[in-house]
Amino acid sequence: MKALRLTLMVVAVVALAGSAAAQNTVYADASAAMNGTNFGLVLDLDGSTSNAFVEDQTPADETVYRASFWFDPNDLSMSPTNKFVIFLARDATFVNILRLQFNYLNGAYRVRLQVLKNNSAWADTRLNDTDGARFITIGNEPTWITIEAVFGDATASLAQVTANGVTHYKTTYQSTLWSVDRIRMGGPRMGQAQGGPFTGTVYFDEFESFRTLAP
Amino acid sequence: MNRAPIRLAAMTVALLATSLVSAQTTQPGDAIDIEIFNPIDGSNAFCVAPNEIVEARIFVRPGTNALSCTLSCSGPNVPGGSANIATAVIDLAFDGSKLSYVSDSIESNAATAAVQGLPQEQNLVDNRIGWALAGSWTTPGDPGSTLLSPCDMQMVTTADWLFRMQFQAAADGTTTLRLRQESDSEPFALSFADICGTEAFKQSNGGIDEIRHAVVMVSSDCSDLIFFDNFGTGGTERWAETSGS
Repeated sequence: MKALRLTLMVVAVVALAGSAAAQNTVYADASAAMNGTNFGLVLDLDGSTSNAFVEDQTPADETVYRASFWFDPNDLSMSPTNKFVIFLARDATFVNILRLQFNYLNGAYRVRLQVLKNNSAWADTRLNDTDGARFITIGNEPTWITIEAVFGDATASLAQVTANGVTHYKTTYQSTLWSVDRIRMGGPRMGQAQGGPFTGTVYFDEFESFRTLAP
Repeated sequence: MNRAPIRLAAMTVALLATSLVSAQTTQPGDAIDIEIFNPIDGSNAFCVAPNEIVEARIFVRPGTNALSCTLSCSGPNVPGGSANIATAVIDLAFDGSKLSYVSDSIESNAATAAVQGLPQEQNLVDNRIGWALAGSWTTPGDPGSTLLSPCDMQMVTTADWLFRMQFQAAADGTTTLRLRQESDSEPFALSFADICGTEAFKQSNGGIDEIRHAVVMVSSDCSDLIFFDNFGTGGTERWAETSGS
């Protein structure tokens, strides 16, 4: 009986050690290089739900914010409707106010931008503002993605994402409570991912951000 | 109105104002550090408009390990160790499609042996520019004179910039000014030496412990830039936080 108990304890310890070691990771690596660079950022997903991201804290309560980066799904294995956030903007009180979701459906990878309204509800960007597709299809290849947002009243507010030459946007909503104070790129909300577990790598590169909309 | 004098004056003021900046990102320690830095703010990043000139400098921080030795040419207590660098071999690689080489010059601080170093321009055709220090000349900066005795030579003993390069920006995008090193796919013998040791200070023996490359963004929107990174340094150190690393 004691032998059985000892065996169970050993198994439990090993299992605990295994779960403690499991975590998603981010790191710079040549394998993620895109657009002629030497390195890119790897989001390495091991099937766990831990967050893994790089965070830029340079934004200073930006009411106009633009970010662009290369993203490559790199053949990540996903089931239909699986979804997780790959870009997240937060305000100074750590409220999530802008997020780009990465999704898979009908054999295609897709992205969708959502913005937080004053009433704390998320609004989708769409092909025609209030109707049309919510997701933009991207290939299993490097894609240049641009995210733009203006936080303000209903006459000024704008959330917009452009990928593969397609732009989806949202206007006429109240977002006066928010501004961008920091952003995260990678897998900043893996604990809240839809579906999974996710095992594999996706790539990011050439991140850039501005306090103006695209020229 | 000819804006060139104004621009030159503004650049001079900016450089003077920032010459006191010592916001290098490496930290003092036993081993030697080397950085490519922006003289405007001490960072390892640049943003420059297309066709404009960007100036990068190479900064070296000697280590804190000071020792002495006796050489045949003089009495005891010749300074050595990582705190007293006698020779150096540095090479920098750049992307010729984004940046074109314009000029280079050495540091003008006569108090250090840095004035003795020589630019290495022979590999510009391969988009490389270097700097080497092989000793001190009897006439400072004149390789036509003879080398001083090791016992008489000056050494790099102070953290300072040694060498500056100017590049003209070309196409939009990001690129990296990269210090070539032993661990590269095409290894380069980045190293320093004192006059007492038998082995040069290198990464592989812990003699160099911090190397900072620089990232360059070519954009017309530099005034509105918040942040950028192409991970060209091989790490994520430009980001304020990395979770899951």
